[in-house]
Amino acid sequence: MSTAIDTMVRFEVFRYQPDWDEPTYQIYDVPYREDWVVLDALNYIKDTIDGSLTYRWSCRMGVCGSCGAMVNGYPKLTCAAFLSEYLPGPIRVEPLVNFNVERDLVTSIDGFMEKLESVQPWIIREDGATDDLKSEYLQTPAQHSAYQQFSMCINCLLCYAACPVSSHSEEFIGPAALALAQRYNLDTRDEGVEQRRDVILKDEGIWECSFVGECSAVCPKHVDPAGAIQQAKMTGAIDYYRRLLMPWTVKS
Amino acid sequence: MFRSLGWTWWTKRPSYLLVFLRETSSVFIAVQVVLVLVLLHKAGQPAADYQAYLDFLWNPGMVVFHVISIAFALLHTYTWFNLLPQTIAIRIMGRRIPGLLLVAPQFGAWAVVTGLIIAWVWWVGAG
Repeated sequence: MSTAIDTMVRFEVFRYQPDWDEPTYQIYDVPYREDWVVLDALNYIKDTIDGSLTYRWSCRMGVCGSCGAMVNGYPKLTCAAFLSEYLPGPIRVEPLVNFNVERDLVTSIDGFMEKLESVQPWIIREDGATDDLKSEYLQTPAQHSAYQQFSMCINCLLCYAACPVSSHSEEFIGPAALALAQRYNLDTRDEGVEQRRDVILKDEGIWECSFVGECSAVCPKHVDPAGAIQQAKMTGAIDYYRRLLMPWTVKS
Repeated sequence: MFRSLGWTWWTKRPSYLLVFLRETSSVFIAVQVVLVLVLLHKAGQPAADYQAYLDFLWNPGMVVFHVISIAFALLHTYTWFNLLPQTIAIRIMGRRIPGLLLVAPQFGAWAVVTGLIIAWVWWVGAG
């Protein structure tokens, strides 16, 4: 049961509409509840103060990955950002940086979806048997644990908002997509390493990452995209020298 | 409307600043490498030229530069050694080995090599 305290928390919420030249910050005073998160406050604003405020949300429990926003300058899932962490306020809520803003707190993720698709984040079989629902591809717990961490991504895109490289290169494939590429490359059931190779190793792929590491710091699912990318770099470097020194070991 | 972190991104969080300093350290280390290469070249020149270069390296401005360089070198080494567990995932019996097993040998090797260099310099100086 929520505990009402005789306190109001001030919110400064980023407002923008496509026909505006410049964004603005709108002030809202929201009653403090110790068990409220920023998403509860946004819902309160929309329900009782200003129905025009636009933002994405769905599950309210850190699973769907749709409610990401900059809270006081840091990328956070608003469903996991308790008001108590930001007292006495004000709390500034803005759309995730490094994306185009569509309206208020809603960003366009079209670019990310293209990058995600480019790394083919699904199991690829050389025999083309992925449509064969009768085949079994067994995997031991140890083989599963090799990629399990990287498979926890919920595509919330907080990692992109924390990445200075994404900020200065819209072409950079970015943390989440590259971590998912590594996830499938490490999957013993997958045979698509060669098909992902060119995309991962191109200039806008793993080598553009300068290992700032903030993507891993903000990840709510502890995916460690920075680790995935560095491990892919290690694999890529070994692969380069193997092709150079032992070309007969490379499949044509 | 695209919103980016901007060119002052490195001022916006302590963790960004640390990375910025780590990367900036490369500039100072590169200049030190050039200074050493010039020193080697000067060692084959007449004694007066060599002494003049040593005097240049010991002038107060250069001493400040050396102190800044060693601070950057230590920062780069310390932070880079600590990043290794993220870079290499070694698994034994299906379990990833603790990061400390990757970090500790680096610091150990660093201490041993540093000790050997100090001992050698001391030995040459004493001899």
